[in-house]
Amino acid sequence: MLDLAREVWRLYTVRTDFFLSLLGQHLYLSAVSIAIAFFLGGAVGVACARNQAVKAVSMAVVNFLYTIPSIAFFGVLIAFTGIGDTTAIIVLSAYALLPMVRNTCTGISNIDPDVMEAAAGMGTPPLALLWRIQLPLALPMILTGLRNMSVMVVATAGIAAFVGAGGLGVAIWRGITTYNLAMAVAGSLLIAFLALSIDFLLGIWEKKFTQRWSS
Amino acid sequence: MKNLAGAAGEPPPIIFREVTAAYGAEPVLDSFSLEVLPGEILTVIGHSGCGKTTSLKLINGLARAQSGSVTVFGQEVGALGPKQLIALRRRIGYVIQGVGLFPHLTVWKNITYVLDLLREEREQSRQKALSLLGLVGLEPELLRRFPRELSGGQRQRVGLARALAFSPRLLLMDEPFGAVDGITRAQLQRLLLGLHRDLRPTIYFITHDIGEALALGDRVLVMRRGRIEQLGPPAEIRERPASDYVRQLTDTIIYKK
Ligand SMILES: Nc1ncnc2c1ncn2[C@@H]1O[C@H](COP(=O)(O)OP(=O)(O)OP(=O)(O)O)[C@@H](O)[C@H]1O
Ligand SMILES: [Mg+2]
Repeated sequence: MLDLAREVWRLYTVRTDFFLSLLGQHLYLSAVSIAIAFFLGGAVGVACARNQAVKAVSMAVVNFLYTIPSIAFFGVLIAFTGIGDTTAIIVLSAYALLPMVRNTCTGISNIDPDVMEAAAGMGTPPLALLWRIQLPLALPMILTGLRNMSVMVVATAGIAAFVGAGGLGVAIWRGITTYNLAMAVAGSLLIAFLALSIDFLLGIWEKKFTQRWSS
Repeated sequence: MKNLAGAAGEPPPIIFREVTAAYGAEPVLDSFSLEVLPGEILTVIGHSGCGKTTSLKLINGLARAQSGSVTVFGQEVGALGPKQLIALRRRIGYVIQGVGLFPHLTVWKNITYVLDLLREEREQSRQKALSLLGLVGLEPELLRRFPRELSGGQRQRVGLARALAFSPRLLLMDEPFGAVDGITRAQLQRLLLGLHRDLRPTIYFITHDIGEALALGDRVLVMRRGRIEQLGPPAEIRERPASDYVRQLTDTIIYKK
């Protein structure tokens, strides 16, 4: 056990460049997927809060996407988009949609009806209602969704290497195929570390935005 | 009878003509006809569920009439398009049942909400917020607080300041002095009467409290099951109740004393 730890540490020090480049790729894949899911999921979430029919359909779709096992998802998609980053990004953002759509929609739907009535009664046009009232008030929920889905994306991105995309999964993949346990562990640890850091940083950000006015 | 102010010849700012309104099968308002006079405080009273809030929402178009018409500032509310409705609402000060301050905005930004929609310049908006705070009897320090950092009475004052921000000629107030203690309530009532004396807006004021209705109203409208039971100056309501229902209402104050 101690040997393993020592060997992992040796890998980090000797092959620093290798791990840094994997880390860079991992961050890139995750960031692109998170951004897509954030804006797409947010937009769908807003639409869901406006219209029950849209909500029923979209929630069914994103729930379905969420439940596809990742291996199957990657496997099917390879047939269409081939091997590489594109496939990985599509799968990762598809998974991330559910928490974004759900939280955005819930955040907007749960706004105090009195507040909505005051806004309407004072002559707020639809777009101003969204920007000035609904999105800011749903922000705590939206940021929670962002945090959950970011952690999930960073963790799941470890599998991207299996479809030929880069990222820390490459170290795990290589470790498994060459019976190099330390290599696999080194990759896994970095992924876990990355996920926890993002959770922590986004957590701080979330508090900063909302602690003053929300109880 | 108190003087019903308002320039001679000015048309009534609100006219209900034979209005029927319903959410389900039961009508909530039933052939409801009323002219609110310019510059008056009309207090509206009646049991919970008799249609007070609904009548108010017909004025700013948050509710729709099934038949009949509601005319505000000479415009028929039911016939207005979305843009015109927004324009109309920006001319009407609105204090809702339960205050409804925006929790994510400071007192300042709450007060100047409508002005900000119209993109009023920052320093001007701050000055305005400050003078409105003074008008409703709050300290300038409160400007940067959030609603949850205020007491119930302070919130209601901010709600009033927000409704007054664009110097509306018409105020709709739905139980604005609800959940506060008696002393605070009396202060708020005095405040409102003072503001009314100085600015002379027309006020449609809903209340549960017959004492408040009689004290504030130039005229009092007693509603019962979506209909007008009696409409008249406070003295008339007190001395010549049109029905047992009205008599019972006014009797409750005598028991209190
Ligand atoms: N949005 C709505 N959907 C369905 N029914 C409603 C709605 N709003 C009000 N009602 C019903 O219409 C009737 C009149 O409601 P309204 O709010 O006008 O009463 P109110 O006189 O203001 O009562 P309160 O003094 O309790 O505020 C009530 O029976 C109420 O249940
Ligand atoms: Mg009501």
